[in-house]
Amino acid sequence: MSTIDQHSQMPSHDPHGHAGHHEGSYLTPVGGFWATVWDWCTTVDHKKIGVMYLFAILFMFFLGGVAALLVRMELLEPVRVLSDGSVVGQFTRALFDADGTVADHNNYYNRAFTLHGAIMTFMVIVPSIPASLGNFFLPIMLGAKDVAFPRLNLLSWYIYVFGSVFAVASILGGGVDTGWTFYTPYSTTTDADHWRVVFMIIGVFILGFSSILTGLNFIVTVHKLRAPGMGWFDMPLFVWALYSSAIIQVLATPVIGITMMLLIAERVFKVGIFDPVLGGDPVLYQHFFWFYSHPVVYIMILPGMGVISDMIAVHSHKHIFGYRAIAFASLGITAVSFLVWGHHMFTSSGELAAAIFSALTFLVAIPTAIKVFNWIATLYKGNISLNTPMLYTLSFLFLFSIGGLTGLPLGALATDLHLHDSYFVVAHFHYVMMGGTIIAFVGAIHHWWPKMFGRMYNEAGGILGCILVFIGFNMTFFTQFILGTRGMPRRYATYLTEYQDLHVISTVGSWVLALGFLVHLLVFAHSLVAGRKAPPNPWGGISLEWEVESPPPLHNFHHEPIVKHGPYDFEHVVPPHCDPAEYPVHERDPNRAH
Amino acid sequence: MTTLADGFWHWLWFGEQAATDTARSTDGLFMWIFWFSAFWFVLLMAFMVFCVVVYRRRPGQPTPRSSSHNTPLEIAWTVIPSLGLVYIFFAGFQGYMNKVVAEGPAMEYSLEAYTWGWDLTYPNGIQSAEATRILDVSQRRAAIPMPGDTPTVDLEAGGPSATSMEYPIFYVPEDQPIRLRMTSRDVIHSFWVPDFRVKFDVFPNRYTSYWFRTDRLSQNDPVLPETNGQRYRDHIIYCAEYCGDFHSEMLAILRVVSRQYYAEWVQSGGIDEENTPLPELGQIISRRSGCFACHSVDGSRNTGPTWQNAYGYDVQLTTGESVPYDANYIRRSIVEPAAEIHAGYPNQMPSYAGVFSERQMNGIIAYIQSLSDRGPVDPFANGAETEADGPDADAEGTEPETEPETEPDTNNDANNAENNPAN
Repeated sequence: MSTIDQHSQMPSHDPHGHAGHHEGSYLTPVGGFWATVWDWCTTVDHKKIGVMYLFAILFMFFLGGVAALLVRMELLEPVRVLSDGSVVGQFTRALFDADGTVADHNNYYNRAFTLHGAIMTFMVIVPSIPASLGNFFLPIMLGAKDVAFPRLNLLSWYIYVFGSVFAVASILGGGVDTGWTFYTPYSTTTDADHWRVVFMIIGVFILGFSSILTGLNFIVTVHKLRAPGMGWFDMPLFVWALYSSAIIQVLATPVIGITMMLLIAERVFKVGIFDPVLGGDPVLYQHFFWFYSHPVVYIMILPGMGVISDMIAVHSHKHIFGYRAIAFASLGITAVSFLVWGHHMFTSSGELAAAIFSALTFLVAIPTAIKVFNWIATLYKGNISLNTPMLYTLSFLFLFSIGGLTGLPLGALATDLHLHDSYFVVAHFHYVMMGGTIIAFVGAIHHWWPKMFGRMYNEAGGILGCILVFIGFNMTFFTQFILGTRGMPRRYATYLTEYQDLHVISTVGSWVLALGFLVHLLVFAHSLVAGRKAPPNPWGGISLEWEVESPPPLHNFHHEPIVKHGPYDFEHVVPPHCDPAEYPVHERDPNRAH
Repeated sequence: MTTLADGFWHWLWFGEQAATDTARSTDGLFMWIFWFSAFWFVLLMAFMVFCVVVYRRRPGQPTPRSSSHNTPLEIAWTVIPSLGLVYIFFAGFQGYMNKVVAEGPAMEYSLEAYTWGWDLTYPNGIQSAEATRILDVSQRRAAIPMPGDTPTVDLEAGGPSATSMEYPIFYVPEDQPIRLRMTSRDVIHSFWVPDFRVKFDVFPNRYTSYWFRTDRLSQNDPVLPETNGQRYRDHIIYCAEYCGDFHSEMLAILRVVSRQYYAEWVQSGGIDEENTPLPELGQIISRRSGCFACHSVDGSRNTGPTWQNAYGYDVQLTTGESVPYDANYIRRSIVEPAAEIHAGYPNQMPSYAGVFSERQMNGIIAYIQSLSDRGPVDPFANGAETEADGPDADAEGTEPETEPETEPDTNNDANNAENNPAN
């Protein structure tokens, strides 16, 4: 690898006041408007691809969020809401029943929650952190110019968009009511005369390739493109987490691809695989599906854990506690994640299988607990800035701990037989996936926003949004734990009136949550338009991405960096008795200007 | 104090007491996990808040020096919580085995699930004839509707809801091990009685089993009307595996009665399909299948067309066509409801293909016929017929024994059936 700076002899002006060579940032337009558009569409720059992923994912997050609000709207009252004459009712009718063929109105709700689940899992949470922030920062953190296979990287973005188009097309065709899990034989028989379910399945199939290619790229990049001096244990923990989840992406995702193909074979060509009418076995589908979809929750959460490790160290301005414990815990989770799929089937599998999977499930709890202990220990004797990324980190610790601990009664067999398929599962899942991954994602966007776009965001606005999201989230989902233990089954459009009070709190919470995200949207928009210019290192981080300008130059580094300290060696980099937020101020080696 | 706190938290989580021994032990395990989790959570969060307050950044201050790792500490916080996990696993496994393996010989019922309902066949081969609304929901009981009771939800306002529909009632004796042999006619369902804290999935082409033994009835349980002080206790049955359009209305009621009452009831309470006159069978089947949620029998307008004076007339379809409302139309509307839609009504009915036996189908047809003044006549119905009245005889009088002449509203109707199970 070589990053010899072609422009090093050119005269340069430097807005950040440090001497040395300068090359345009990756955001610098290459020419006119269309030339720039073409440049972005054909770019192989990991930063641009990361940014394109970021916006595509945020757009899908918006779609999935609208579907979530519809779901909560239906549950505001025990009777059907989405089919009434109100504005919301008309909106749903237009969305899911444009041609008036939907036989009955529970279907609106069923379509809304399927849409929400499918978009949020396959199009938002799976790619969220790795594809956007991972793409952007993994090479920079390793000191590399790009990922190992830049063209493959661009291809994976196009595959993502292509797959999402298929999925969205199925909505425009009237929506899908299978649930995001596509359980057979329901999924192979519902809407039998229509193509939309097949479109959704094809969409998921295609999206899998995007995930595989990104994972492959990351694995090779981590192995091959680390800068001189960077050993495995000099990598930021975010990179470790991306590496661990990339392994799962590569190994597990093909299984979902095959499973989706089998679904299509059964649905379209009547090949009996899962449907007993055709001689198949419906539980086989559940094994196939969860053999991917359980590991996939670790694809979703590991990168979130990675950014938490980085954010908590940088904003506490001290060494992460238990670096190796956290790194090995990531790998441990990866290994065990493949062995616990059966815990989704305690109510449908035999006793021996249930016992084995229950035991393995508790095994996966241990490395997760180790991480939480280490993060909280990192705060001890820190120097803690309470800015938006740190508040999101603290939110993550609070919410993810609840999410993790509520996994215990789900992993224990006796209690799971009660809680399975109830709102308790819904709440648990949202506490780990949204309270975990999405909260970490939003925090990380704030953390790296100045680096990515070269502008600061409004801190007060960010904090306000974070507080609203935290309150709204807990209102929305904590109530659902109680609904679940009290016997409210999931995926119910209508329910007994005794559950209404909790549902009302939950729905109001979803509005607070939406308001919180709206505040963030405004803060980001304001930052892009009128944000203060960001310095290279606004937080005092010491991993490599903070050594380059904000936004980073086209090729990341003007010279190949040589790594001299670990990503969290604050005590060696920051002079004693100095405010760590002020360091490092880029005391630069003139021979090795960044 | 501990008991008081535990009582509050148990109430918060579960609302009411569990209904079986295995369910109570599950609650015990859940509460153990809850306190275990609460301990670690409070410990972690308290330490987190402590650090954030004490070590918050003050501009110009250096970071205090601290160690970056501590192996004994890592081992301690790995091993100590793990011991708790080991206990939770074994306790969960033990409770699970108690839920899977019936204690002693059990009565075996056969339960068939379909989209969207449950059919229970009793050990002696009968099926339950009764259905009711779920009114007293705060007690999770299907309170027996009295005249004047109204559903808590206005049918007109929001269409059918879980509260406004009628659900079948399944009778089981108290304090008796009971096993359900469950299978599904179509997609996967899941049989869940929250009060028992157990659910198991129900598959097509395969049997799964579900067993429970309820507590004895107590003096706190309500009394069945007109039964000389017989008490009962109701539990809601849910479908917990998503199964399509009416998944959320796939409910039933499990009614625990005394052994003595059960012994009497089971002799007379079910449908004797072979010997029940067809129109009466049809009425029972219609109520049990929830038809009256949408179809009235008194001519009033509802979600679906009324059944009064329908048979023998012509139906105006949405296509503009007009077809005779005959036995074939009824059958097609049940099996393939979307094929021919009555003008002015939404295409909203689910298919009941495969749900009814041939005799039940005949019963429904006979029942709808009996509600029409153009139904068929049977001059010999009473055995002593001497004067043939010809085809334009008063249809109302043809089946006086088997059919009430005017249908009360469904509430009262359910009420009648409740009160006279042998009806």
